[in-house]
Parts: sequence; C-alpha cells; structure tokens
Amino acid sequence: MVLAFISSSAMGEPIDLDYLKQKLADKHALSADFQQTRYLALLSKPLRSSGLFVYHETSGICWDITSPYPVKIIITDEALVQKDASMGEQAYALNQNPLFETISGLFSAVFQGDFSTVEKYFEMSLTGERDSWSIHLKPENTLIQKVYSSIDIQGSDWIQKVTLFDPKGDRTEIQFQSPEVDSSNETSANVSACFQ
Amino acid sequence: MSQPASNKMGNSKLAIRKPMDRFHPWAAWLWLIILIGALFYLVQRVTLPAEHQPAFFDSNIMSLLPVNERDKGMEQALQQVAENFGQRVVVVVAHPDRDAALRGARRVESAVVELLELDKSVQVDEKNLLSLGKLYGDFIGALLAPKDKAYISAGDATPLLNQVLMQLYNPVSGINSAQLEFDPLLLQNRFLQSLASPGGKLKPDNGLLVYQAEGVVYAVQFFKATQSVYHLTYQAQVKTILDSLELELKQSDARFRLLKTGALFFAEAGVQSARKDISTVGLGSLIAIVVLIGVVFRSLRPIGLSVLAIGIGCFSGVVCVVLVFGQVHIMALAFGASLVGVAIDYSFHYFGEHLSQRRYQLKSKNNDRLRTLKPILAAISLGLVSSLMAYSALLWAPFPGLHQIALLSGVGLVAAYLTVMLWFPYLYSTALSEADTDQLLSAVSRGVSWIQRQRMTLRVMLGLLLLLSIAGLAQLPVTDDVRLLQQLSVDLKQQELEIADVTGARQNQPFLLLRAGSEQALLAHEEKLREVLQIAEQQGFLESVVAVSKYLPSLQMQQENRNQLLALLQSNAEKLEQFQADIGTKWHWAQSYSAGAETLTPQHLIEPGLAFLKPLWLGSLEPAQYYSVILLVGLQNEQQLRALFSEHGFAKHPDVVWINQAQEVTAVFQRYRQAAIYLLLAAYVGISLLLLWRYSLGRALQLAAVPASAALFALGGLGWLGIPFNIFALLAAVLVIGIAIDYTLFFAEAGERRASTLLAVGLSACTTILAFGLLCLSGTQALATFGTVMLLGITYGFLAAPIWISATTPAAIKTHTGT
Repeated sequence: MVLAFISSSAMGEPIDLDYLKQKLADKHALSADFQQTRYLALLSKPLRSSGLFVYHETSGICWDITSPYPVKIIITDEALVQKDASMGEQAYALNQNPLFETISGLFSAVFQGDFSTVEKYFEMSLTGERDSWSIHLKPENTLIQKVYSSIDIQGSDWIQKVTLFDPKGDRTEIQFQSPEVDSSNETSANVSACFQ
Repeated sequence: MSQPASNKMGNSKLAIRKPMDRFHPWAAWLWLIILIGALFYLVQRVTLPAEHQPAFFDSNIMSLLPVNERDKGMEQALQQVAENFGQRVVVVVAHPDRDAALRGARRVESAVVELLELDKSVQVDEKNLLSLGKLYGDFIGALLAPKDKAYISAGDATPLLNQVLMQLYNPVSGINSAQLEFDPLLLQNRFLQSLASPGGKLKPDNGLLVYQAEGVVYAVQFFKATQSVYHLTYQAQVKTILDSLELELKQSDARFRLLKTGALFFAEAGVQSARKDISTVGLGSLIAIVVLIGVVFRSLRPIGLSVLAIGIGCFSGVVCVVLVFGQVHIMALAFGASLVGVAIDYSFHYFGEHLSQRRYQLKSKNNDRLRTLKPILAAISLGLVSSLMAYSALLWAPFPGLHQIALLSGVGLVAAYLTVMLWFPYLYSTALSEADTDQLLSAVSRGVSWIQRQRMTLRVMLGLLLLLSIAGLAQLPVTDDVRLLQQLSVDLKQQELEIADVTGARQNQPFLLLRAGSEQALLAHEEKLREVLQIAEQQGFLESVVAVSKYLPSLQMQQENRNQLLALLQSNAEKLEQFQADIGTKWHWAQSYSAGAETLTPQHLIEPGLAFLKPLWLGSLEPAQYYSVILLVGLQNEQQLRALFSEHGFAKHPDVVWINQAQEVTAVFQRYRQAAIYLLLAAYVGISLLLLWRYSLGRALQLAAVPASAALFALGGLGWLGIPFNIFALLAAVLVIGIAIDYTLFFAEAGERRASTLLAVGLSACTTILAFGLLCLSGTQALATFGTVMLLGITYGFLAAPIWISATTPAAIKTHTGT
C-alpha cells in the first residue's frame, strides 16, 4: 500500500532523503548495462569501456566488463577480486586499502540507499524532484580527497549516472541503462552468473 | 624431646659444655648484629629510588624459567623483543553503535593519558598511509610487488601493460593522470597493495582502529606502558583506572564492553593470586600455630617467641633472595609463606623439651641456661640438615624461580633455627610454664597404647589406602603447559582470545629472530628467508609475514629491481610504443623509473608510515651484530614450515632462531619432569643407603617403605583428584620423602619416649600439613600441585610412621665405631 502511494505521487514532487532511501532499498538485486568513459588529462582520447553492472544485497557488486577487454571485477564486503583470461584471478583484501574500501563501499551503499554509510565519508546534498534528482558528494576524508574532489550521482527510479571528479581535472562518467530489478528473493540467472 | 641424639648429647655433655657456654652469649649477640645489618640493607634497598635498581618484587612469569641454551646475542635480542611487545597494552571498547564505541575509546584515551601512551605507530590512519605513499614515491622503480618482480624478471612487458589497462577500466581503481604520469606502469600502487596493512583486520576510522562484526563495533587502541609493566604499583594503577572506566561506561550504557589484554594484566593477576596465597597460607598457618601452642603450652610467651622465630626466618629468607637475585619473585614469596609451618618445628622441639624437663622435675637439679637446648641440639640440627637437603633438591632444576624458593626456604629455616638456638635460652629459660600439661601428655600416651593395640587393623587400613591410591596412578593426567605458572584467570584468557580475534594478531604468535653483520646484510638475510616463507604462504599454511625487508628492501634488491625494470623497458620498447599510441599518450618510460636516485634504508624507519616496524628492527645489540624479527601471522602447521626450513638449509642456521615461547616452556617442563623422576629415585636410593649404614637390611627396608609409600600415596592421590602430574608434583614428592624419613627415624629411635615423640611430630606435622594444605588453594597451578602432594604425602607419612615403625631392637642396629 505504501508503495502504491509513493509511485502515484512521484511526479513533480521535490525529492527527500527518506523517500529515496525507501525507493532504493526496495530490492534484492539489480543489473544494468553500464558505459564508462574516463577522461584523463594525460591521454589525448577518452577511455571507453562497457559491460554489465550487477548489485546483489548479499553477494556485493560485480562489474562484468566486456569491451574493450573482458575482465570481471567483483567487490564483496572483504575483498576486491579481479578476474581475467590472461592474468587469472587477483584478490585484494579491502580492509588493507581504505581507499578501495570506501569507493567500492560507496557504490553498494548508494545502490541500496544506505546513506548513513555514505555520510560517514562524504558531505552530501540532495536536490531535484522525485523523478529526476541528483546527489552531490564531497569527501571529508583526506585520503579520498587525494583521489576524488567530488562525486555526482543522477537518477530517477534508478541510478542513471555517476560522475567521479579528480582534483587535477580528470573525470570518470558511468552511465547505467536498462536496469532489471529483482524484488523477489529469487536471484535471476544473470545476477548469479556474474559472481561466478 | 626424645631424639636419638639426645642420649648421646647427655653422654658428651661434659666435653662440650665449656666452649659452648662461653661462646653462646657472643653468638647470640652476633646474630642480633647480623639481623640489624640485614634490616638496614632491606630498608636501604626499599627506599632507594626506583631508577637505580630493579623493582623489589618481580611479577614476570618469564623470570621463573630457565635461561635458554641460545647464544648471548640472540638471548639479548629476545629480551629486547619481549620488552618491545611486553610493554604493549591493548584496550578495546565494544558497543553496537559505532559512534558510541568511538566515544568510549576516546574517553579511555583521555582517562589513561598519565599512565599509558597511545602507540601512534600502530594506529594506522590516513595520515600514516599518505606519508607512506609519499615516501615510497621517492624510490619509484626500486620497489616492486612480488608479482610484478616475477613479470619483470621474465622479461615480457605484456602482463604489466595488461595490469595498467585493467586499472584504467576498473571503475573503482581511482587512477588519475597524476599517478599515470608519475608511474606509468602503476608499480607503486601495486607495491603498496602487496604490503599487508599493519593493522590486520582493523581499519582506520577517525584516527582510531575499528573492527565490525555481528552488530558490534570494536574500537581498538594500542598503548605503550610508560613504566615497566612488572612494576607493582604501576600495574595496580593501570588496572584500577581501567576497571573504574569499565564501570563508568557500563553505568552510562549497559551495552558497553571494555576488553583489555597485555602482559601487564597477566602479571597483575599473578600478583593478586600470590598476595592471596601469602595471606591464606601465611596467616592461616600463623593462626593455627598460635592456637596449637596456646592449647598445648597454655602460655602466651611461647606464642610470642614462635612468632619471633618465624618472623626472623621469613625476613632473613627475603633479604637473602634480594641480595642474591636482586629482587624477589612474587611466586617464590607465595611459596615461602609455607615456611611458616616448617620453621615452627624448632620452637616446638624447644618448648616440648622444656615441658618434658618440667615433667621429670629436671628444673630443680639444673640451673644451666642451656639445659633445654643441649638435649635437642643434635636432633634439631639433624632436622635442619635433612630439610636443607630436601630443599636443595629444588636447586637441581635450572629454574630461577625454584632456586629462589630453595634459597628463601633454606635461609629462612637456618634463621629460625639460629633464633631458637641462640636466643630462646635467654628469652625462655626461667619462665617455665605453670600450666598443667600432664593431662595432655597422658592423653597422648593413651593414644600411643591404642595404636599399639590396634596395630594390625591400622596397618591393614593404611595398606588398603595405599593400594587404592596406587590405582589412581593409572589415571594420572600429565601436563607440561606454561599455564602451570599462570594463575587460572579464565576471564583474562578469554579477553585475550577475543582481542586476538578482533585484531587478527595473536599475543603469543611465533616469530623468527635474525642476525647479520650489517644492516644491509640483515635485510638481505630477511629476503632470503622470506623466499622460503613465501612457499609456505603459497601452500596455504602461513597467512603472511611481517618483516622490515618487505617495506624496506635491501639496497641490493632495490638496485636489482631498478636494473631489471630498465632492461625490460629497453627490450620491450616497441610494445610500449604501441601501448602509448593505443591509449593516446606519450611517456618517457625510462626517465620515470631511473629518476629515483635516492635509496631507502633503515634510517627511514623513523617515518610515520614505517614507525610501526620499529619494534621488529632491533638494530645493533653488540658490535657489528644486527638483529631483527620476522612475525609469522596465521601459522597453521609449524611442523611443515620447519620441514621447509631444513629443506632450504635454515633449520640449524646460527643466524635464524625460531621463537615459540609457549612451546619452549612446555618443552622445558617436559624435559625436567622426565629428569625429575631420576632425581626422586636418586633421593630415595640415597636415603636407603643411609639407612643401610645404620640398620640391618630388614629394618632398613621396613623404614624405607614409609617415605616410599608416602610419596606413592601422594602421587596416586593426584590421579584420583584429577590434578595433572608435572615437574612440581615430582619436586614435592622429593620433599615428602625427605620429611617422611624424619618422622620415621624419630619413631624408630624414640625408645620409651613414644608419647612425647608423637606429640612433637604431631605438632610439627599439623603445621606443615596446614601450611601446604593452604597452598593447595593457590590460584597458581604449580603451587597448588606442590601443596596437594605435600599435604597428601606428609599426612600419610605422619600416620604411617607411628603405626608401622616399632622401637628399634638392638639387634637391628649395626655396630659402627663411634656409635
């Protein structure tokens, strides 16, 4: 009943955090196509990559990059695992790298609407309406400040775009398209396949 | 009293009377002067400022243990390590809410600020990590992750370039232009990733270390003690403040928990346990003595004099131990409390003889001051010698703790003996008790004749008891664990385990001590050893190692790394060219990696990011000898690692020493437990030979059976009680044999004076049994085991001697010249 009320009144209303929290938390898993464009001042052309992004509330996050180079990056609570054909599997314990941990933690926190975790490391502001909102994040932690000056997240029913800004002018844009949300406890095949 | 020697003394009285009478007063004065001197020494020792000397009381368990058979340098290095890590105090505040946990930890930090210093080097925070990254930036190209090093040695740049690509395409890698420009192959990133964070499972959070698990947030703080953790007052201060903090936090919110660990708390618990032992054993025996003497002699003066003799005994024992060892171990003191019950014997003999003389109206015939002393002199001297011999058995095992106990007890007995012998004749010669003690002696006499009548029944009962007890030997559990010496503080142990769980670092993890002729040689030595350790890591029975050379490779290694890298860049020039074209940039590969001209050396250990390694870098402890430590984290199979070591020639390497203290102590206990069995047999054979010298074979066997059955009964009893058998039980058994043979001989030689012998032996057995019986209650297993064996053995010996041993017939005594 609550859900029905929310969706019927979504249009044109100003966004608030509680609403967004509920909206984002209401799923077990999500998969979406993503496109990453990295603009590095050092490189004359942007670096583009694309693939499948998968979030699962217990398994973590999986980036299944297909182009230009097939590689899978799986992030769980404890580790970042990188899998590819030529190098095999490489795991990095997250708690031994606070930067990795914060950034990868940020993605899973945002995708499940856990803004209290986000606010641990970032100063956060939310603007816009329910069907088109944006979050602006400024890191408070000096270690993260070295790498990201700010992070922008844009979304509607789902998160559409994340932009990471580097203090020296580099930036990374990640766009998410055609999301599939799993509200049931059943994990769909492409979600579980990604974590394999 | 009726001692075998008293008749002899009577015969030779005339011969020794003159010199003894003349010298006795002088000797009494001399004893007073010696004691005053000792008192001055003690006062000066206690009041001297703490900086000039070790603490008066020692509470470190390690100082009870034998010095290992390592060379001096390694032993010194080990001491340094113990100091580096032993001074650590870990406090953990746990709460379901992160902010509350952090707040609690801050409260702890501010409350203990005067006693404990926060160890900033372990407190891995963002600042330390940033400074480490900055520092390593100066040595780019010289520092390589193990995997990168393998790729570079193989001579193909492709895997390295693939790594860069993957980092670039990884959405969460955080790679930026600045990094790429500075380090195109991102070698530094991967080198940093390859280092295990010193915090282990902990992660930095607002300047604190935090671990989250099952809805609980643990805020961990590593402190350094500002004074020696074995300093008694300091220990108590730290413990008190943390206890009150725990209470304060709990009162503010019941969900708070405060966990703490460190050598300090174990030492403090040991001190508390010893303090309790001293008061129960010491005070308990003292009260019993006062009551016993009050009942038997019905006079106040013997009570006062007994307390004086005991007091002087304990005082002298402590002074001598401090003189020889520099300090008294708190556990020797706890054991020494049982001295009260043994040192009283000389007083009993003195007062008993006094009583006996009064009964036989010897008073009117003899006004000699020494008349009470002379008949018992030989007996108590013999008693002293046999007790000293028994205690000297403790000197045999190379445990400094046992040596202290032997010295404390031995000197204490001698001092009590001298006090009785030299002072009692002046303090107790005329004031004969007017109490009617005939009743008591006749009661004992009735007891003696009852024993005589029931002898057969009693013998059968004793025999059955012995057989039953021997059955207990079969179920005697054995332990050689280091915990024998620790008080059984379950709570502390549990907190230690929980903290180990949280921090991922065990308190007693095994480590390696390394030595080399120079700093650089030491780093190279570490690197060679780490190659072997890496095999263990790959095979999965070793989690990781913490070593200085991991963070600070040797100059040779740095050079080799850079040379190999530059060679690779040259040989793969085309591939690199193609790669740059593909991603659209232009790098000066060789320039990036040859720039770092400076070299990383152990001088850099002062940098905040590396300071946590300092406890592992012992440096130069003797001229031209440098020492370091490699910590083995999460070692699951020690046997396998040792096999790996011998495979690679590190098994008996003089410059690599494997340290696993808990295991070493166990090995030492085991070795000496096995050897102590021979000591027990030797003591027994010695006594038997002594008996054979005086008695016929049959009689000697009969007498020797009593101490043997007392010792067997005691050890069998341990089995029934389920108390583990260990070296301390065996050493106590040696003492049981020594004391039981005394009782046996007293009865064998008692002749017609069985009643007064039973009274004297009974009194001394009572106090001895009580003193050691109270020691059974000790929280320290070693002392409790010792006390139990003494209690059982002496009780059996005391019962068996009057029942088994009848008066010696002249036919059973061999004739020697002079006897």
